[in-house]
Amino acid sequence: MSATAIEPASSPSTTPLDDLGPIQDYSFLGEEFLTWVAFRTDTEGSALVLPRSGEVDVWIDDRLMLTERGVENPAETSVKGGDPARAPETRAALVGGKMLGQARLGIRKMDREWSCSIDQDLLMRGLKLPVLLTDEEDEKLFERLALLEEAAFVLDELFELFCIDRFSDAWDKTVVPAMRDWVAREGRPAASA
Amino acid sequence: MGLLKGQMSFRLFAVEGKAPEDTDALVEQVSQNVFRELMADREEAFGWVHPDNLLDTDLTADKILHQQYLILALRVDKKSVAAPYFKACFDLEVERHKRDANVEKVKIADKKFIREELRRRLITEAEPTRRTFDMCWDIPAGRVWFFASAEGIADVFADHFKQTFGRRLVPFGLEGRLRRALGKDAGRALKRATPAVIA
Repeated sequence: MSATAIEPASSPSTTPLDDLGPIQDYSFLGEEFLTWVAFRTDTEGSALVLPRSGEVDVWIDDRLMLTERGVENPAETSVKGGDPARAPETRAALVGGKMLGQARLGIRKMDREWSCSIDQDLLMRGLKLPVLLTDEEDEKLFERLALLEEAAFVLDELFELFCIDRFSDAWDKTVVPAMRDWVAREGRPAASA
Repeated sequence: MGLLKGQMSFRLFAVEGKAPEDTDALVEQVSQNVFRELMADREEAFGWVHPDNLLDTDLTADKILHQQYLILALRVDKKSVAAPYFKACFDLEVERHKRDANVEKVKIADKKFIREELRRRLITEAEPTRRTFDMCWDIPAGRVWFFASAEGIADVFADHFKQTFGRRLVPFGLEGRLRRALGKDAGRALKRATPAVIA
């Protein structure tokens, strides 16, 4: 039996963060990550080159949910089917100040394709794996594990890419203004012919 | 929705401490914490079983150690009585008590006794729901995948993992990824971060 071991972006650490405070205070960063994925894949296309995973495609798949921010019982907008990232309901919600709280992402690497739902806590649900290559029962386990780790690895790298943007000076100077333009441009009603 | 088939929903944990090297000790720890059947009047029981067969608690090394992975399933049996059924039975018991004791009203203390006895009887009679959740521990990498997304069952799992192996599991979600991405500057960077307004 052989396993295709996929190393994690780096091993998870158990060292506590100094003075970080309760993490729920920072869940807005999960929403910003998902919204950034929608912005980036819409404006620059789905193709990405990640430092270790190499060339991958990432896109918002067939559903997403937008959440109101900063309130105890946030209003939610759910959009399913078609191209939800470009749906008028999504644009209206973004214009209204909502951010993505959950999205189904598609990932393609070479000829393999995954999809999974991610929420603002970066919890992965319903991960659909590519078709397995092996027919051997014993090897299916290792192939499934390898494919799981590969998808998680891509998402880890994508999140690291977001963090580079998010915690750099460019975030306020260029990224946020570009996202505002994107929301305003796409949210504007189409001009009548 | 587990490791072995179908779509996967999971939580990732980091295992506290150095990776164990004595796999015999791990197998022994598992064998001491396998699933044991529910006592008649208990509401919940949990423990390790084989991922392929929830009745298999003979968890030898060849069944659970696969290369660098320790693979198990957490079996959780739970008995419950539906509230409307409980209320209907309780009302009947109260009426019976009134007839037997020849009283018009039942004392609060007697009602409490009736309720407790009834709960014990119905729980004893109830058939448990039996669920299993796969887990995979990548021992050298110090990572555990637990194949369920609900927080409640993840807490049960983390407690049972600690009880079995004496090691704490640290959830690896947003916090862990931020910590990894930002390194030693995480605390400072996050303190400065405020929600972006893009509308």
